[in-house]
Amino acid sequence: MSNAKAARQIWATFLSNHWGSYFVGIFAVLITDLMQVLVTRNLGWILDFFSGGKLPSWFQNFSKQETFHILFFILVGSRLLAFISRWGWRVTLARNTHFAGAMLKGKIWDNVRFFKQVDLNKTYSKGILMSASTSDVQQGRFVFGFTLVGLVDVIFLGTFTMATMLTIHIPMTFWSLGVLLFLPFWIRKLSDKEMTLYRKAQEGLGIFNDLGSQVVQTIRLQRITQTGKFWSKKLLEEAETYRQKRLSGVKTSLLYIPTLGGASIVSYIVLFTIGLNYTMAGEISIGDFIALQGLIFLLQDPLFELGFIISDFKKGFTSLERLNKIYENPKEESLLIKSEREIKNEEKVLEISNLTFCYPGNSRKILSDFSLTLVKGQRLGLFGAIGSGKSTLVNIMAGIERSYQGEVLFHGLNFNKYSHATLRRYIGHVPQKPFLFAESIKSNVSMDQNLTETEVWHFLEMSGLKKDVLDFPDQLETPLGEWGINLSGGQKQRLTLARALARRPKILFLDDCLSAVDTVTEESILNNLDRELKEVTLVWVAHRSSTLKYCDRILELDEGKIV
Amino acid sequence: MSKNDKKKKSYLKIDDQDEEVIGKNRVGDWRSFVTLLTYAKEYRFSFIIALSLIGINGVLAIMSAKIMGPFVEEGLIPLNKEISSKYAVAIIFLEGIGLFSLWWGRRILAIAASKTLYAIRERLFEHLQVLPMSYFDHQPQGRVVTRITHDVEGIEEFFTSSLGRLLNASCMAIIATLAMLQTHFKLGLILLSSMIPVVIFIFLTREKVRVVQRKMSKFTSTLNAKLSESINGLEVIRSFGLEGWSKKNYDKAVDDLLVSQLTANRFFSWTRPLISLLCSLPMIGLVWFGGNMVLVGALGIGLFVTFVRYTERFFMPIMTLAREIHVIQQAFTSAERVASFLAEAEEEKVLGVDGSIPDPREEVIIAGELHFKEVSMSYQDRDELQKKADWVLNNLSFKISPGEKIGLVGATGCGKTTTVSLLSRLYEFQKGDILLDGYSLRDYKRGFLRKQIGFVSQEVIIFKGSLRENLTTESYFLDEDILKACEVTGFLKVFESAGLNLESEILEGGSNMSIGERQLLSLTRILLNNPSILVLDEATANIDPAHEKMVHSAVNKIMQGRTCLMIAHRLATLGNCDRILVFDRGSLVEEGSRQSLLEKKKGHFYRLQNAES
Repeated sequence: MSNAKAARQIWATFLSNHWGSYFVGIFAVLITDLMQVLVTRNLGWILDFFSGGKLPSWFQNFSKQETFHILFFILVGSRLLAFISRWGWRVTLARNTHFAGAMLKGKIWDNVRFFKQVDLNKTYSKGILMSASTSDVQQGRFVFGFTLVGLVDVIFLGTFTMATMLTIHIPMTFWSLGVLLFLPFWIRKLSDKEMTLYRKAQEGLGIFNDLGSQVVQTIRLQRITQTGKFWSKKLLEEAETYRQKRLSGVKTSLLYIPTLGGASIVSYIVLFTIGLNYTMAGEISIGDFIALQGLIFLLQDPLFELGFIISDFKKGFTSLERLNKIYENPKEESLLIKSEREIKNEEKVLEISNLTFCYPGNSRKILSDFSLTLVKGQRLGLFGAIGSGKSTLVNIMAGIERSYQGEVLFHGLNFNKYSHATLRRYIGHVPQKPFLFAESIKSNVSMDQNLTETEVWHFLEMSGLKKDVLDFPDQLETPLGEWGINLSGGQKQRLTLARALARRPKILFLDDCLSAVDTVTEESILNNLDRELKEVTLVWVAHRSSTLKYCDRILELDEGKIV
Repeated sequence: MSKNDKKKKSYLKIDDQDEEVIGKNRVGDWRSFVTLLTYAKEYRFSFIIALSLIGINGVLAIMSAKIMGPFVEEGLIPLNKEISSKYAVAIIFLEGIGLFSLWWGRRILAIAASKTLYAIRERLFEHLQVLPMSYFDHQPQGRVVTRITHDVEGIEEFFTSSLGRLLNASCMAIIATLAMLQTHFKLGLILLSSMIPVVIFIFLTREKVRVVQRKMSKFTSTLNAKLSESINGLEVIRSFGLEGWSKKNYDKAVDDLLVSQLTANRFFSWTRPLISLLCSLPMIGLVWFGGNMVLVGALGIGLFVTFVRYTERFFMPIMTLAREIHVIQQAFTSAERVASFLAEAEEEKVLGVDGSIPDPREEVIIAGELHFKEVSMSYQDRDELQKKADWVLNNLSFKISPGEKIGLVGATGCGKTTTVSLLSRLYEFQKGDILLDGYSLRDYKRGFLRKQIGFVSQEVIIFKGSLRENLTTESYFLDEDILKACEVTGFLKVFESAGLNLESEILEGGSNMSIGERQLLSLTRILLNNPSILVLDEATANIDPAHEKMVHSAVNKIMQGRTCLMIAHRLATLGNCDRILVFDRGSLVEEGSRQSLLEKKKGHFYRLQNAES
């Protein structure tokens, strides 16, 4: 199925699933439009009534006073009905756009969580996904509601207005329509240009904001090195670039003023030249002339809107296509393996033979002809300089990286024989760079598990963080992240360790995860781990040998080989 | 970056965006806004011209609507072609000129507004540079970033988009009112009073609008943060098999946003149509009262038509106001925050008046002799100190001779980093004094002092720009001088072999450079600055093997002839110090050469060394 077709499918499915509310909503829009026409027509009748012009025949049975009351009643009634019908389409159609937006957003992460790392690095960087979730969803959701409202408006208001004008005077109708036909084309062009410029300005703003946060983050170093003025200059340059971009967007938006005004003036010219001639010739009554004037202005609206709608539909579906591309992007196969197989608790945990690894598109061998056997309860140390292939090896041993050559058997079988969930329950991994979620300390330790406070404290104690947390005013409930407390590098590392321990893995990989912890604390943590995790197979990675003193086997890596 | 972050951040100030606080500060809205208007002063002529042009449009529009009456009465009804044409030409002429002046006025306004916003941003950046460090410690970074970005955008949205519409709407409303009152006072008054319900309604619902909009934007940013976090943390999610959990959390954020959007939708579903219904009250009133007057002959039909047109024009402005109300409110809230950010005490106030050394007429060379005399320091403010003092440095005394190499050692939070921060006068100390070359640090100009201290840390800031810009921000250096410094540190060899020159563009964050190359760049930067005191904070840790030797030799070269303070989190990085100062809980507990410290079998240093080996 082509991408465009798939995007339309998303739209059509949503519409048919909510057909009831769309039916009511469109009916409400119709009523609104009808009332709008009636209001204008009624105003014409009122003016006719006062100026002694001709009124529709069904008024003739009433007295003057009665006629006035009827006209007044129509005025008030049509306004009231318009109020109800406007409410009607808002609680149906406008509401649906929010549901559609939520659906579109939900599907993003539903799919992205299984993306390949390569795709995330190259095709779908964070910036692209973020803008998909904000601007594409925002643009895409309109075709589920507001654009439909506009469409109905255009069709019915346009037809109604035209029909009413035709009943008043046929040549005048064509004249008015003819001179206003430029509107939809011009508006569409303007709206597209406005959108492009607006996007550019947003990008400029993004760059400016990034720089701004960089400046705030490095303020301390700027103060020390006296480079603040220079940074301010940079910021101002970006601010000026953004100002220009934004201004050109605003100037384009302002072009709607002469466009709409120009349309009015053209209408006036038609009315005052051709229309006036017809009136002078007695073909059009004065009331009709006034009504025609109102109707021409009313006709401008649908023509004006037509331009927007064409542009909105185009932009909306382009966004849906972009989103659909994300939804259908290939996933990491290993995460989706379906297997009921449990892990057999054998002595031999890992058996690696003739392992070679290169990054795709790069011929340099990170690991070459590597062989290793790991048994239960073993403490293996991996040691080597930066870039010697330690982290890659750990990723392969933990079953995260699977595009290697050679054989890796985990409890006697290839990693692909187990489901992702089974493996992850069994294997723990603490990376060098700590990553924490912007939640409380407690939920960072327990994640998806239900741990008691006592358990959380236990794991914090094991990773040497208990004392620090006791010092925080909110203790376990202390929030982390930008708006919460700011942990030091070492504290973050210890917390990620606690998080891994809390999952009680049978095999645990520690990838230089205490590099920012001071030596005294590090020593006590290592001691804790060795003492408490007797049954657990531990793999330690470090570029300092002191960390490895509890290991019963130490390998030194250089250029992907054992030294 | 600082080991004391933990302590300092526990004193985070309450969020001034917090709902509770916002309610209390509301009085300040207007005044804040007026304060910000001072930045528009420079462009006042543009604003006046813009306003006049917009006003002219209003007057012309009313005039055009006004002659609609005589056009019907004198031209159309008697079917007088000549008079009709005369009025028709006048109407088209008036509309045309009005349109042009409105468009032009709005353009001038937009330009002036964007320049004003630029001026506000400029002022904010200046302020950022003179705020004391203690301010940044008490604020989460996100909040400060929000002040200089998002909050200004709130004002910008109002200035560049809404202000024009609003001014136009107000002009129209005022002129239409005046015109109606002047034409027929009684009917004008009736029409005017029929606008009261809508104004009251807008006024009554404004708070609710604010709450509803705020909730939506809050949940929008929560969701964005969630997505961003999930992408950043995907590695962790994957390694723990948390895909399901992350989806649950993400969906919850989507749902929260959806609920807030639906609430808003429900609210706007009846308020928006009601406002447009209330806005039609003048027309209803006109037809009823005016119509009855016409029926009894108290009002001419021409005048009636004129009033119909006025009312049509009058209808739009109030709708505009209703639609823009939240932008206006947002602008006021933002203005208040920006103004209060600008009102934060500057370094000058917190650290006292800048010192006077050196006199600009003489050249002062700093030898680099340091003397800490019974220094006590706390990050608390005066009130907190009196309640329960929490000293970070406690009665600290030591002396360092010019050119000496000193290692600072101690467990996390012992005061090493604070000691160094005091040298740069990032914070005030409460007791004792620190002397540099015999003068108190307080007597030196802060800018001068900071230039005297070269700071080498693991983290190197590199920005997008030329290599030259990255090396020095001063323009007085000749290329020769720069290249010479590069040669000393060995950086020259590195970038020449990579085929770069001083004008080459460096990517943001130096992403095309290795850690070692970045460190060499930073060392060259420091050498060009020629400081008399050098502070090294784990400068040689984590360097890629290819550059490790070069960095070491560059560091050694730069250290020559300068007083050096080496902060060591690991004893292995201490290298060859003349003397080591051992800190514990803000006090100096041991000092001496490495050898002499190791001989004290039960000393602090001995214990640290043991833990490491």
